[in-house]
Amino acid sequence: MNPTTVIWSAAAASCVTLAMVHLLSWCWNRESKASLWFAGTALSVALLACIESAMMRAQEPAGFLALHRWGHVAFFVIILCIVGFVQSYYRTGRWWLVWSLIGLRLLILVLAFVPGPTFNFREITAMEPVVFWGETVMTPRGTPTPWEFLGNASGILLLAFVIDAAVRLQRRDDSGEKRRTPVMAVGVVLFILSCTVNGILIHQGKAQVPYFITLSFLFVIAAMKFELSRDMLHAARLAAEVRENAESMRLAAGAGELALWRWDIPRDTIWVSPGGRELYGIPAEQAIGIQSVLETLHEDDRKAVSALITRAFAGSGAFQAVYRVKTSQEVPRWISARGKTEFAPNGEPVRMRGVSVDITSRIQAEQDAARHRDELAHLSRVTTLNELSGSLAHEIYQPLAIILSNAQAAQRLLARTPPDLDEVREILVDIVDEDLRAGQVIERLRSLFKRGQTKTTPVFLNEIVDEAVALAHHNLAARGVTTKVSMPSGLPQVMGDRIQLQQVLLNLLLNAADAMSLQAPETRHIHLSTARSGDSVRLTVRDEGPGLPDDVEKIFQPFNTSKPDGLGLGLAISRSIVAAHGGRIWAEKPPAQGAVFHIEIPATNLDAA
Amino acid sequence: MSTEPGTIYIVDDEPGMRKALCRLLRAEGFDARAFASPREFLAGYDAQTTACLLLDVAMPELDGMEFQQILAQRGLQIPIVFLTAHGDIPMSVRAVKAGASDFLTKPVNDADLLRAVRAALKTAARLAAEQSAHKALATRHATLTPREKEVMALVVKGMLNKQIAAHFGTGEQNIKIHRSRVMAKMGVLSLADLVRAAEKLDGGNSAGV
Repeated sequence: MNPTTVIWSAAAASCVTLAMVHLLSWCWNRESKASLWFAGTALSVALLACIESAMMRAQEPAGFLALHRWGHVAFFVIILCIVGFVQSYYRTGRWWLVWSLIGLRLLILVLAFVPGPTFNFREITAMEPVVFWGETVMTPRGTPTPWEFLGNASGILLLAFVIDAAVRLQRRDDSGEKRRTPVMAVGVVLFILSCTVNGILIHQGKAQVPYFITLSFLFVIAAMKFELSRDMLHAARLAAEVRENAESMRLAAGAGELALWRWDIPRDTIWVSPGGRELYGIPAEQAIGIQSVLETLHEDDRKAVSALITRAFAGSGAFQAVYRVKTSQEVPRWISARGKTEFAPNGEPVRMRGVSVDITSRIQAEQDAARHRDELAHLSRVTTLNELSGSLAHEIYQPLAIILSNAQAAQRLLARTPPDLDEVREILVDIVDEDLRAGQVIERLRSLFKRGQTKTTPVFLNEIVDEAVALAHHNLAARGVTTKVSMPSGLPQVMGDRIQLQQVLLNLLLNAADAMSLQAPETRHIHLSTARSGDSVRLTVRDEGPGLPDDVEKIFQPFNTSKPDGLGLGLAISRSIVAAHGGRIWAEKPPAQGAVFHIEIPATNLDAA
Repeated sequence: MSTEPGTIYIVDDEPGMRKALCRLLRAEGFDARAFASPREFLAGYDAQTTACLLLDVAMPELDGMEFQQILAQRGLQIPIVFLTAHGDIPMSVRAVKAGASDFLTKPVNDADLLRAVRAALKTAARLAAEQSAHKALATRHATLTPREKEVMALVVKGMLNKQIAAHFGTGEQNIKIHRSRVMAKMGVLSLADLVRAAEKLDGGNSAGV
């Protein structure tokens, strides 16, 4: 076997092999167009190798020319595939360069096939045997055409195109793709150089060598293959990482009682990680769709969860819900789920991935804490009411006393001749008013005494102030304390428990009154005001008493009291009540004498204000 | 409409209560006038009329008991009927000791209220009568000469004319003349009456006349 035969055959064989590998890989994954272009390049190079091999054995100029023409066809296809590779792999080449290059090569192809002279040779006079790498091969002897520069121009265009694409890729803000550009560019540069040298040697008759463009192309093939292999290595590494991550996720999911899930929306099938079925109580073999998941939910939560899914689809795709799942026990299981939706380009949701966590114990702890807080609040409320009892008796007796005196006055007026009916009518109006007032007082007291769960509704702080001041009115009056209230109208509502907020305020009012008990009656004032404060509503209670200790925070600690018969729980409970409202309560020492307490609670529907 | 003598002043911070009490008392024929605070009362009441005060115990700024003390300090002898919603025994004892005419608990029955008010007005009338009698005595006493006043003081102490004469170093006859003038000027016929008048005057002095 001769070296050239071996080399060209080996080149062709290896190109075909590589082409097959990448053709298969393209069949596997139609997305990777670069593999297809590479396969095309490699196959064409193999074809060119065969043509060149035959050319080396052409005895007659006519036969050589025919092969030479077909060589141009292979060359054209190779250039086309290289351009396609660069464009599909880098996507940074300029299209006008692409079209100029293809146009130029088409022109060359046409010129190669016009009858008479070929693109490179005006005529070939003879085939001469030369010894090349120890083997005798045939080389053409003839006169070159003036079109040679077109071939060189196409080489320069290709070079320009590849280098431009490489530079533009480098400039793109995509660090992951930067490092692979030079290889392809280097391959093309080497190819162009070796090709040009080969062309000059043969066409200008500078040396007696055969065409070895196949070998030049091997640079490009190698560069392309290098790029693709690096991708494959990268992919393999990624796959290993993904496996690793999946394993860690599975471990984490198991440890944290997490369930991972994926919902294929068009097909409505849901995959869940092993713990997930247990979490929702779904048997192992049953296929899961969204309906079967919704059925495991507590009846009261289904609608809300469906609505949240719909909202996720309509909005950003983020889904977040806390709901109860029915269990065999009486107590439901609380689950917190979060998911993210993937959308098709047309905006249709295609997939939602997410995690579900069992938060039953957390919810139970929260509920226990809330119940304790409610109980403590009730206890403190009853203590406060006990303190107020005299005053509260007054609040009830006062309307009764007014009713009685009015009624007895009416009896006298009716006994007269003639009876004074006008006055009696007025009296009756007053009696009705006072009766309603008595009813309100009793109702208010009843609700304060009631032990109950926190009931959150939108309330106006101004109303809370009015009610608390009315309840404490007599107690304060009896102690010579006057209240001055300044409340602007139009403040937004807050979400809160009426009773508990009243309790907090009552506590502050009684504390203020206690603080001022040792000073002259005409200096016993409590100033109450409400105001908007950012997104909150602020309630301020200021007294003119002796003020607070230097360590203001200390007064909020439990069992901290300045009163001989106080428990010292009032402010501590007030703070926990306000915190449960998402607000805060704090004390201040004003520049003048006295103490200031502020309560801030987030406002609801700010727009409506 | 039968009208009863005397004025009843009502002091209560609760407008509904003031109105109701006024109605009841007016329907009964009394002259009832209401004030929202002790301050208003002091500014608006008529010291010359026979009157009693219906006073709410629990009021801001100044409560009923404190007001009672202020009235006493100012020497305003107006009988007070206290009204309270949660009257406890110690408080009522304190009030009555301090001179309250009565102590009522709200809601108050009309019969109790009227009885208390009438009693208070009677006290007021008696006080007024005592005061006018005292005033008359004081007027008479003022007409005595200094020597006659001295003689009267010694007579009511129980000294005999002879002792008094010895005290002043004059004759007994002289003292007799002074004594009969004192009896005539003070409008009394017997020594017992003169002693009573002197006692009343003394009491008046201690009451600040």
